[in-house]
Amino acid sequence: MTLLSILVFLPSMLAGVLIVHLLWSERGWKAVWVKIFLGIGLGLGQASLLDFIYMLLFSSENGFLFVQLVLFAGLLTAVIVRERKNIRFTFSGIQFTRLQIVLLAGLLIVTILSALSAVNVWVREPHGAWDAWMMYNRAARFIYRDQTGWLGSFSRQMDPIFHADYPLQLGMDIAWVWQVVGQETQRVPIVLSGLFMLACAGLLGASLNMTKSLGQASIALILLLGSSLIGNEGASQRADLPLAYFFLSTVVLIYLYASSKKPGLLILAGFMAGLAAWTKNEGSLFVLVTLPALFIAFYHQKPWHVLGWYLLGLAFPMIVVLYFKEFLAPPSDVLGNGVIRSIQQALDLSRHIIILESFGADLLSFGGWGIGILPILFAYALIFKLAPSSRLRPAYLAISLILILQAIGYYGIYLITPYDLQWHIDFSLGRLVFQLYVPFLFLFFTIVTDVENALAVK
Amino acid sequence: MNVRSVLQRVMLVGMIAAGIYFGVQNLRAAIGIGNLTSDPVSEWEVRFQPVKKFLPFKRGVIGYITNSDVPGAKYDVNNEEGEYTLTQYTMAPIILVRGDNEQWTLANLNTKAFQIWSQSNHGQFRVIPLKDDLYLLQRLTP
Repeated sequence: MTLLSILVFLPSMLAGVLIVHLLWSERGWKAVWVKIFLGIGLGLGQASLLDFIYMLLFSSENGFLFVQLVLFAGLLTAVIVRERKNIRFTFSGIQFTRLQIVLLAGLLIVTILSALSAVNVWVREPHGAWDAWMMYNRAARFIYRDQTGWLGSFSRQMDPIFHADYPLQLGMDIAWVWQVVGQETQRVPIVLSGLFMLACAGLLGASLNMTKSLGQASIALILLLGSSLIGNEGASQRADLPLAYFFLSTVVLIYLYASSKKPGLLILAGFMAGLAAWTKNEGSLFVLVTLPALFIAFYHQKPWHVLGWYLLGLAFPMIVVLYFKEFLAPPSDVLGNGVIRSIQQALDLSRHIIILESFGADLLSFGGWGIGILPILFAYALIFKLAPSSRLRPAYLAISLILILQAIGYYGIYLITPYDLQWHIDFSLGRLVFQLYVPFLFLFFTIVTDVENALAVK
Repeated sequence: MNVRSVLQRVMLVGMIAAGIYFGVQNLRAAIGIGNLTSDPVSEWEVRFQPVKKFLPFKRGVIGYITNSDVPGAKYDVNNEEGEYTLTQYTMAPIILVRGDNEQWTLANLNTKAFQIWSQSNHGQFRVIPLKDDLYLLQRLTP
């Protein structure tokens, strides 16, 4: 059943890879790996969006796999037609330095440990962690178990603790594959979480390998996989890892645009940001913060063009998200306080102190490495020195602004939350920091000196 | 080799060692989650499976009461929300709303709590007793 689930997802993921390639025709094996890991998430995202539309139109039918196969065939034809005179495979010999071999060996061990952790979590908690079964797998059950009446899943009679207002990225993907395989097996959400883990770690590594070096990619991946964030948190089937993946995809694509100025990359970045909004409510905040960040960062480089291409990619997923929010989803509980009470809470100094203390404590201890990964990165930056490229300044600025504005947004949500503040922080802050940590790792390792260069100069 | 170069090498070795060490710790933590033979969610599914057979509809809204809804009955406040969410997950696509105001209500009551509840609701519900302290209640009075 695990293999079958992967096979059912395969046409969607391949379609994703082809979409990336059609919009970004960069060649070379380093770019191919980036395209594969971007394509996995984009493919899973487009399948979820299209299945939502399919279910609105044909909820009594079970033909969505056919839609994905037709999409894949159409994209493949388009790629073959475009590439028929350019197709050539060149294999250049790969040579590793001794430093790279040491780093890759360390990475291999950490990757195996992380994979074993994930397998253990899946075997011991097949339904996922609390939030996973309560929100995402529950949503998938509501859709799958009564297809023709699936719109009843968003009833306002549902207790708000189940968050029926949450976007349906995971729920739709799980439900349509259940429909295809003909049974409600936990292997499907497990495979889905595994694919996002692979895509997230793979994209971080592939993008740093392409933009910096293999050594830089390896050390970043050792940091990511050596923490509990991928193997344990990612395997829990919650939406935070897919969300972190879509944040990472967006910032990687913005970075690549800054270095190559190809508009297709901005279309893809917008699409990925839209998929973040389709994954979790924090993704809608992400969409909002990326707009001013892009405008400011590319202010001297035709900012309206940048925003135009970005909005083009954003349009389709955001139309679906807005339709869902406007016409189907019950109201969000986080905004349930009303304006006056929210203002009162925002003016309460004690809430600011609690939130700031919690943010500080979490940033200093985050990652489960005892002293916290951020202080380690600070020491790393001092020892290896920063080496930012002036040509990429708009990318650094855009990504930094996105991360800072997103963190400020989280701060604001805690200020106005209708829940007990300390409970809400304890319950969610670690996962919010995780969402920003993955794109931050990418930014950090693009700015800091490559390990190969740092050690070669001596 | 200057001091910075030494520090860089120490830093890299330290990060690889830390990655492996904490990778092992994370694996141990993953092994410590629950156990291989029983999963609480799956057990809950088995317990509530019979309820659906007695309901006359596949999708709809039913009530849900537990010991905490019965005055005088003892209950563990820590379990209340967990059991409610587990039950909702299990019963999907039936929507569970707290209380017994719906035509059908699922009662998750221990023997003592059910006795107390029966005394104060006599004649208002048809009671379908199920296994494991579960009762399906059909409201007789509007």
